[in-house]
Amino acid sequence: MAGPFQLIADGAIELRLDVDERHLLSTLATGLAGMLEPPTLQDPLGLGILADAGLSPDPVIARLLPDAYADADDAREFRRFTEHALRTRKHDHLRAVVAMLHTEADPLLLDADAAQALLAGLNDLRLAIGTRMGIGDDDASEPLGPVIALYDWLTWLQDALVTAISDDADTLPM
Amino acid sequence: MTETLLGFDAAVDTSSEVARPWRTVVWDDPINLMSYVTLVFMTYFAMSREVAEEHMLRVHHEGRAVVSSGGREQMERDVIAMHEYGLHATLEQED
Repeated sequence: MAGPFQLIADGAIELRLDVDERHLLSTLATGLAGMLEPPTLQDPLGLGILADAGLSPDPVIARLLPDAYADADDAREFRRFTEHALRTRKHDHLRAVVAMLHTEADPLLLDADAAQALLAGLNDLRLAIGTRMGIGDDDASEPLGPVIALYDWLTWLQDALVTAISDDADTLPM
Repeated sequence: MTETLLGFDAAVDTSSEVARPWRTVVWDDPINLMSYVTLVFMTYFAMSREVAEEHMLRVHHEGRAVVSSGGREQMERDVIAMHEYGLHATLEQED
């Protein structure tokens, strides 16, 4: 059975999603983009440096913006210089996903950049929902059926996209 | 590969002794797909599929794997790139 993604000539990828699937994915991406949107900085030089920054108390944001150093002070200092740009990139990937879904085209046609944005965006969505579900957390209670179904659908979609991109990657000269 | 950091260097330890090399460590997690982790290693580190799968399996079986080593600034860039892809990574100094 053909999957949702079809690799076509010159590295572009076709994506087949029905109206409900597009709406669902767009809603999820919009929501997570909102959570990741970087705050406005008092930043006249435009350097994107935070006065202070720590690991988020929200486990979802903490998973998407983890510490880079084991030492808490090093991690905090590094985060001051890097979190704003990283948030912006993740936010932009998700906004790109929303934009690529809001079209009359069927199937959707993704160029290489769009495919990468969708790949990163889908992964962040899975990380967010999986973290909320408590995947890997022995103490977490059993998630609701619809949430499991949603997570499984995103997993299936991302796996299909990885396969499509990988088929192309394997033909790249090394 | 698009630039993933701001255009300037983050704060760097400028001690004058010869620096021990730094390395990027990717940590296992229960959500990321093995196929995705392999693709990230192939895409960002330009590993062949075989080498990427080796590293991915080491993460999976041992809980962590070193994916790159070198100067601190480059390792910081690698860690941020891994975070952008949703992998959990840290940098550490070799013993």
